[in-house]
Amino acid sequence: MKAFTLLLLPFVISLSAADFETRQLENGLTVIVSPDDTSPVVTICIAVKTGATCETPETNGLAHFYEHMFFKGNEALPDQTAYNRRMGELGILQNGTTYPERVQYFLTLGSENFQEGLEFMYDAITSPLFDMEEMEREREVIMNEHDRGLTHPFYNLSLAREEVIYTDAPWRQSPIGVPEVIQAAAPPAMHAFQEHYYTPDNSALIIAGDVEYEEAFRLAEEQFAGWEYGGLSNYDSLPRLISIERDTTVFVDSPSGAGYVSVVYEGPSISTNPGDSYPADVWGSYLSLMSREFYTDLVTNGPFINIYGSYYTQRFSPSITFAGMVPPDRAEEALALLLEEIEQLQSPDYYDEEGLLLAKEDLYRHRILAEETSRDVAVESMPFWWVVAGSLDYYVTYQDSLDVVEPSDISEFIGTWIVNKPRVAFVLMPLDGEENR
Amino acid sequence: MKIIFLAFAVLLGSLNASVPGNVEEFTLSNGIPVITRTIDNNEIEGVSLFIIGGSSALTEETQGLERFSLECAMMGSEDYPGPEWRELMDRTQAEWTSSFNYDYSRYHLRCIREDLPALLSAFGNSLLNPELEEQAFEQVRTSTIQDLQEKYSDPDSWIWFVANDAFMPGHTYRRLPDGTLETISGFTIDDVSNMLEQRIRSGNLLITHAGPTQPQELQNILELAFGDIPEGGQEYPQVEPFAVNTDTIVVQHREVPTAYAVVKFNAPPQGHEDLLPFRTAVTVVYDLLWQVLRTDYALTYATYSGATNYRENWGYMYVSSPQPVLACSLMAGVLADVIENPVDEDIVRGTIEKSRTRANLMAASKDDQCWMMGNFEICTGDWRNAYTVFDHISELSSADLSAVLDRWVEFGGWGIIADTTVVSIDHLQPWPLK
Repeated sequence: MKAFTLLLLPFVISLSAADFETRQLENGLTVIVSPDDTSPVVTICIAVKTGATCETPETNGLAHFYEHMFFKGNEALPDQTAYNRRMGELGILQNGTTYPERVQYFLTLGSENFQEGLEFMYDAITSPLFDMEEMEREREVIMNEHDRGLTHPFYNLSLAREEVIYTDAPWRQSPIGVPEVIQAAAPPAMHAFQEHYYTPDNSALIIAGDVEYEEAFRLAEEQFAGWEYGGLSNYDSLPRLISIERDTTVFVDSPSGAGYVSVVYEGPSISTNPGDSYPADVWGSYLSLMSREFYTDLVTNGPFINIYGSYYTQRFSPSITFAGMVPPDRAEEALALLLEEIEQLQSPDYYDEEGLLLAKEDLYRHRILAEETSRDVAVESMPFWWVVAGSLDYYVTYQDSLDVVEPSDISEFIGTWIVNKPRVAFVLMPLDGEENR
Repeated sequence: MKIIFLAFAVLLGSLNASVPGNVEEFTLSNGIPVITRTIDNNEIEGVSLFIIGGSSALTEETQGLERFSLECAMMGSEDYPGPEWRELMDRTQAEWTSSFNYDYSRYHLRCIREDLPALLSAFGNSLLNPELEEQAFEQVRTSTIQDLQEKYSDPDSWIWFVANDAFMPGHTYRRLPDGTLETISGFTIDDVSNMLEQRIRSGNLLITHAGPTQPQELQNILELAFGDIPEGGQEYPQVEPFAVNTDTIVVQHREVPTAYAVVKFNAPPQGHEDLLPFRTAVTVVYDLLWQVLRTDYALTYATYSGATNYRENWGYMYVSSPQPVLACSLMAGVLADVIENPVDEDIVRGTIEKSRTRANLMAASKDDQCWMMGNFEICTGDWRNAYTVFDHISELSSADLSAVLDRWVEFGGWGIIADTTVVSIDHLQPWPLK
């Protein structure tokens, strides 16, 4: 006997996204404030519209190199030793990340040191020194980071993905870059990146935690008003990257012996086809339901250990991916079954109304869970949406836009992006000495 | 069902300024202790079930069986067979995370408040009456084996186990909670049933909660979900101290472009008055490793140090570097230097301030709160110890930190994964830590 039964009601969960306000300074800097007094800490994040996607073969790895130099001293704190000491004084925990389509820097400290934290961030973002001696040392650090990546069990697969899916410019998906560029990096290249991308009009300052709206905006303006407008970023006009022109299957050697199968299609860009992204998300959420056909056919009654089908919201490299772990000796069988399953996706019978409702609710729940702490808001949620969507309007209207997705929208999405469209399949399995094929 | 609530709510705020006041304790009718911290800033709930025993509950032959059994149980139960279980998970988007360590197994549920009763009901039912359907059972086996293969294949992950060969041969903690390829391959459904019957006993369990559900309501929910778990449990012996009595090194050859190294050394056990200063000292060492190995010598992308949180503990230092001989030598030198020469007091204060920020960050995460309360209750006998750290940490001086390291650090057990055709094995000798 079941102790509890859940009733499926339409939109039981309403999306309670984090409270926030946005303002723009005269120099173009977007300032986002999200108060949360659960704990006496505040997280300050700067998101910059740059990353590997802004690179060329000659500069591949420099956006990431720049991120490392952010921590190596600035006009206020002349070297990393001084920088580290100040972090200790203020109790700062900090890091930076370079993604293909964005770079972000974030620090968390006690809210009593909020103003000093803003000053610390301002100095680091506006006046990095790019000292040649520091760069010489840092390139060795970055090379070690590069080499560590080579030993990851999925390295071969990620390399194959870059080369086959992003054929026109694979480097735009590879933030770590190539050794030749890392070894040759010099201050002029850093300054060029700074001039083009590290400007207030190309960045957002996100403040989340134990702060008040007015005080946070006032201090942010006082501190960041002096950051000089740039106007040189070409980020918004960069070309689409993902390009799949014909059906391809790539077999990749698995050093760990694990099996993994994935099939990738091009997806809609959030900048050029934002309307397609909502049915894409509902559809992906539907496919993640373990009680529906996709999971049942492929996992419960099939060879997959797990499976998902999802749309990855991006500007330049949006993709639709079906993927899951498989026993290596059943990898080829699993691929054949997955491709058969994909062929059925456009059938209206494949989806039921209750499941679609559930898929929407799951997206609402997912957002609530993804924004549990102020740090989640400042580091994971807001920077992503601000950069990929160009503003937080998309984020704000997201639930309303999901609410109106109809089965016909999903059918149209599949027709536009999956049915009879070229795809690339990857099969990760031990190849017993064979080359990748 | 007769429900007997043996509740004794304890308001703790007045006892100690750093212990949060919104924590209550009660016991279910079968004796399962519960610690709950009410945090109502949002609708997210966290509940952790701890199954106490860890490596002590395993033998050579049953390494990994508890983990495997629990994973099998989470595939469906008598009241929630596979399809119903999956539908419930679909409806709630519940997040389950699990970890299996030397002292306990932990299942953590993260969900929206309104879903908590149904999810805990299903969880309790799956532990007591698991379905153990053959196909699902084999899926868990395949998945577990792939996890282990990946862990072994990734030198960054496996280096910790290589260091165990040097630091704790023959110790209880050498029995791996995740299992081995050999043990996982041999388990049967009967093994799983027996393990669950033996381990799912109120005396082996502890529940912690953090979230908006109020204690009385939580008690009702938990009683319905877990009140039928039979009483009883096992007493496990004290874990023996580590007996490393010489500097030791174990080298594993792999064709890797960068070497990985870990050294482990003695640390105070849980409950010992030296543990807090020791932990602070190795956090200071972390900052110094970063300064010396990464900033000054540019030998590595990743280096750090720390101390574990088990009943018996060790300190550790980690580095990945294409020059492991120099990197390990410097790493040992940093630790030896801190022992001999107290560091600048400003560095100690900085480490403490960063620790304070980290603790405040953890206060906002229900997952972290559940872990902290449960871990300290199991390993120190009192969950309050999770919160009283800063009552004493501010008083620590640099000399205190040197002294505590001097008392505990003696010999090191080194593990190295390196390409020994590039790095001569003759140069890979254990580096003394003091």
